[in-house]
Amino acid sequence: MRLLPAQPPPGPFRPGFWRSPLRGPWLTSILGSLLLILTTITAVTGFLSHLAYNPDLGMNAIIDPSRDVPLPFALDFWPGGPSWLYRLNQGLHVNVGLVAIPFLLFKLWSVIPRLFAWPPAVSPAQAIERLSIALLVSSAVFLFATGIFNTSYDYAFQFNFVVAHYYAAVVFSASLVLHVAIKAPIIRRAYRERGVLKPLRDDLAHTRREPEDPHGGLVAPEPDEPTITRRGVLLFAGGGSLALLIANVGATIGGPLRPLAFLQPRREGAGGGGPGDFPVNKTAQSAGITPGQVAAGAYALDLGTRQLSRQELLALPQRTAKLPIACVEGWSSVQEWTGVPLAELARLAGAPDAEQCFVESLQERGILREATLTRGQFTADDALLALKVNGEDLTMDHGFPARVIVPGLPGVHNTKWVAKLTFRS
Amino acid sequence: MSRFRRRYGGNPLHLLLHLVWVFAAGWALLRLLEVRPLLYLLAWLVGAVVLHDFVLLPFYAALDRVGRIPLRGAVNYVRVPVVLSGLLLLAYFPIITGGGEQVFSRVSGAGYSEDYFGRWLLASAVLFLAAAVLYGVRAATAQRTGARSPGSTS
Repeated sequence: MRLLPAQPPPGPFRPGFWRSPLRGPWLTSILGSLLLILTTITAVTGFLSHLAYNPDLGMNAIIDPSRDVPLPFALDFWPGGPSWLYRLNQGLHVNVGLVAIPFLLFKLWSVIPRLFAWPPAVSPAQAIERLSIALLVSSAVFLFATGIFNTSYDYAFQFNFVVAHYYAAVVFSASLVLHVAIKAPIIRRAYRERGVLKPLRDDLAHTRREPEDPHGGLVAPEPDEPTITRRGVLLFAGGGSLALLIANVGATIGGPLRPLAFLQPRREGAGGGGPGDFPVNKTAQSAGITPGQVAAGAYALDLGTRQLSRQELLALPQRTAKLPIACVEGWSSVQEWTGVPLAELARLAGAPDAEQCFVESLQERGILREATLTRGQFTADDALLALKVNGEDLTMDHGFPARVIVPGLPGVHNTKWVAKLTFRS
Repeated sequence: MSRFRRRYGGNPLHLLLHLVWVFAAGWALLRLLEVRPLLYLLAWLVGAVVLHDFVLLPFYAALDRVGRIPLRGAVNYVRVPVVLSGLLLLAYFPIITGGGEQVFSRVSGAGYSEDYFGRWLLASAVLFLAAAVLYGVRAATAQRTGARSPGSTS
């Protein structure tokens, strides 16, 4: 019946191989608890971002709706404001995700002896549990890797980013909930026996290995002398998080803190320092917009029932609002936009009670050239068809002749080079 | 009940929770299989674990063990900046190596305005400088007060 020798093979399979006096259920519990807080924020904001695109409306979905998690009710609740809503959501998603990376690595370090447990599984229960942990780790590494690649526009992973990141997040979330449920008794016991924070008080002279743990494998039988306290380990991971955060967070907050983001490429400067010199996510050239399409004689906004030239749009009552463009990648930029309220255009189109606004761009190919806005979104006071930014006409790259800007919406749903607005029930 | 526990190695709730997981995670994995072949998906999932558990972790653990002996009490003054610098490299790898510059420049209208590899080098230099200053100050204080060498604190 026995397939494997009872005696573990040499090397990492022998308990004596692992020498750190710090490993033990308490250290893993505290690192895991902190990591749980960080990954929960990252996961919740990630799924909220998915819903912020109103994927069940019009052509909004990037993930095929028939393949999405089936919900018994529509979830297009994302409101048209406050203006910082998506900026906060995505700022948390990306920056807390970065902050989580050191804690993930430290947590994995703290449990590495368990990878080499011998025999690999003593029961079906342990076998399936180990399988779930394998998928938890691989989906976590996959999520962080694809997240990093996407925010830096490196598509080496050859997946559709949104699709891969989304389904991997479902795998990760399911595996994480299971892991926490299964390990909760061990975490509770570690905190009860050692105190939640008490081991943080030990100085190096009092940094001893934890008492033998019943599940075995984490506490080193023959530990080395400690070189760092447990408090030091948390500060160490926290220091790593701080370094990663500083290198990026300025791009989220913007303004005077922007130069602090020393490893996040600057998008400013391409516009030559004028009123349109703020980050561009898709240039007119890459979207295939030609000057001929937007020329004064050629362009007219199609409202279905009527057409309006840019001059006619400028003659309508204008509204000015300071609103951010907040990108799914975590950067944002607040500018002063001037244009016609979308609610006013709904009235002009003869559909003041419309439930949805379907926005189509002049862009002929590619994703996100159209978006469906909910009534809550397009009737927000500051929801505009913007014609100007910072007092000047929009530049081509920022959507000239006219673009949508709605408070609290994902950046890419603020459609540029708007050709047609369809207000419908 | 006790017979189930003996055979399975856990209580029925353990099994039920894992069955929920099998079906929920299985659903999401099947969605991924609709867009990529099985081998590609396996390469990613297995590759992620192998890269971390059998390459990255053994590499830094071995490096730490080698460095710990000669450095003794000063080990954290080297360990912390090395790890922080490594974390920056890991989390900003596509920017530091320029892997994302081509697409970045297409969507944003301009290439990188800075040399990010150079910035990472400078950031690392600052980290080591901070560690050196801290070590120097603590060594000087220890010498004056006749205490042990620095590194005896966390």
